[in-house]
Amino acid sequence: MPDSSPTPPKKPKKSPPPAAPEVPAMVSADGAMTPLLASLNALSNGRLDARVDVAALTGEAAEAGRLVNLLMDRVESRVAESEVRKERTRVIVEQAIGGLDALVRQGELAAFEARTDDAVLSPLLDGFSKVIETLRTFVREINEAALRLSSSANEVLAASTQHESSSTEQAAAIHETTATMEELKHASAQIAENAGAVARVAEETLNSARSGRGAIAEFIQAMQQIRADGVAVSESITKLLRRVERIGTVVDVIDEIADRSDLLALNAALEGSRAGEAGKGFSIVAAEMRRLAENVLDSTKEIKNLITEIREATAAAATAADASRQATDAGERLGSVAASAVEGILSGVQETSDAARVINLATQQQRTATEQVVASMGEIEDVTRQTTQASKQATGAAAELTQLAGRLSELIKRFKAD
Amino acid sequence: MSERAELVIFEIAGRRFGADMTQVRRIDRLDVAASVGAPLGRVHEGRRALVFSPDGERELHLAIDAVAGVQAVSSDELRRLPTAVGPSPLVIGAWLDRDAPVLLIDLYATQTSTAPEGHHA
Amino acid sequence: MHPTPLQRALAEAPDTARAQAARPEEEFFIFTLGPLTMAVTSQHVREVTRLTQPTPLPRAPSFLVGVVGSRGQVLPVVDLLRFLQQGEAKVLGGARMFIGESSGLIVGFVADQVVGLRRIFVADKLPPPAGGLAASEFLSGLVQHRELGTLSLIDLPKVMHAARALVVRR
Repeated sequence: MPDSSPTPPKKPKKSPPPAAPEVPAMVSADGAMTPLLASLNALSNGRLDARVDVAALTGEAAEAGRLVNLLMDRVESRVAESEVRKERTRVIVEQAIGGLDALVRQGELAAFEARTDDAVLSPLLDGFSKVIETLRTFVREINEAALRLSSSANEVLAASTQHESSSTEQAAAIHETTATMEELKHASAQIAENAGAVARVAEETLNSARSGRGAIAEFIQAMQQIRADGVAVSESITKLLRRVERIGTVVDVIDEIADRSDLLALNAALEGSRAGEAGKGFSIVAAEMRRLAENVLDSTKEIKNLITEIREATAAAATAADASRQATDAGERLGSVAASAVEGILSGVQETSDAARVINLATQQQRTATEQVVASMGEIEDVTRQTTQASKQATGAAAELTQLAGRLSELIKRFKAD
Repeated sequence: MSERAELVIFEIAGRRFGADMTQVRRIDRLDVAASVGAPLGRVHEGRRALVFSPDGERELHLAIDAVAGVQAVSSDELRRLPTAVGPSPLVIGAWLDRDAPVLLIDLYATQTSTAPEGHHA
Repeated sequence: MHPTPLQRALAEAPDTARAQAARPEEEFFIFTLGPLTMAVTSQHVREVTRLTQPTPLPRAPSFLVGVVGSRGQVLPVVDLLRFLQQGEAKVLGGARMFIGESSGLIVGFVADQVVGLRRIFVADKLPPPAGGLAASEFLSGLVQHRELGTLSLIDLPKVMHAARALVVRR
């Protein structure tokens, strides 16, 4: 603040305001000093604007009055200056108080702005500013840390929740697996039982197939016998046919002779007829010859019919023998096919029986293994249950932490650093 | 001594006939244009023909199925046709091949006897 | 048992000699052909043979089925059924041919079966049925035979001469 008045050479003193102690009004004897004294009195009473009425004075008193007035002007100017400075300091202090008030009431740190040239206040304000600045830095850092904490806590919570649900799922899966393993255990027991049954059936089949093999061998033997018999029958039929043909030839000869006899007799009768009475007996003999020839022809006709029947019968027999031979051939082929089929069945059933035994054994081993797995699964289930429990606790803690981070964030938000 | 003759034995529709060898010029492929028709019955195959010439110039063809051979016969084996049948210009007699009569044909008579064999009263 | 010929002869023996002269009889050769049983007088039948396959004659009437060789002789063969216009004979195996003979003509006839020789009383002959039948010209009569049924008596010489006339006329 500019000071128009010349700075006194005296070193400024922090002296109390120059309020003179109350002095009792003195009254000069002469009376010349009265205005001076009245002014001084007023001055001493604090009326700094009081001035000596110099005009009313004379001499030295006027000089003294003028000096007093000059002094008072100076005092008054100094007081005014001091007032200005005081006012300025009050403003600054009020500002500082406002900033602190804002800080306290609203956590407002950014609003704090106080500066002065006042050498006395300046260090104080600087100190305040530094403190505020430090606070600001703290708030910023805490704010950041709270944000990070909140985010981390959220992550932890999410992870923990995730873990918890995973753990629950795992527990469920393990439970399911355990149930499945139980089922598997039952299933393998069933399989073992079935395999045992298969082995028993295979054994029975094996016995049946063995006896079947014997039966087929007998069948084939029988077929061979039938074929041999059939060949014999065929040969007999052929022989029979040959003899029948021979009989036919003989009958043809007989026929021929009978026919010739018939003609001879007829012509003899004709001759006899021409001979008249002499040939009559001849005619009778001829007639009898014809009758005999006719009898022979009748007989040979019958024989021929029989031969035809025999031919037909033997042809049928030959056909039947042929069919029989084909049938026995087919039978033999079938028999050998059946035999090889039964051999196949035998080896197949043997394999089946072996396989069933192996399955039985394997399923028994599997059952043991399954039981072990079930036991292990129980243990795993326990551990998982514990893990789930721990996860729940961790989740709780994480939730709490999140809450705390939130609160911290809320709190620190009350301080506005920027 | 009996007379001897040589016959050409030929077949038409499964029946045997005989012709005088001296009347037959040759055996050839049938020339339909020169055919005398079928006085002895319709031929089955008919690709062969007995070729003869009554006047020594114009050749005529009698369609036949096959030539069975040439047969030398004596008059003892030959017969005239029975009186019940009577003489015929076409069939002049029979050669008895054992008991089976083979009709003897006058080839020169075939040219005027183009009507086929008929069995009606 | 059949009676012996002698027994039968004894059974048929007359009480007196020439008893038969009272009832004149004729001997017939009896045969069957198709549906008919025919009889011809035995004196015109020379011989009975088996029928061999006849050799057909060109341009011959249908009743003349051909010629056959018989004992070195060439014979014409006539189918009486065709000749009498009563159908036609079927020449099968076992068929017979009888050889008819009349005034120098020798002709073979087809027969299915030959019954044999029978004596028939002349008095038993019935006249042939009236009418313009072609066959009746050659029928000399009918006989009702107790054993053989209706017999058609054929005038064989007439048939033979008519046949020849028909053949030669062609």
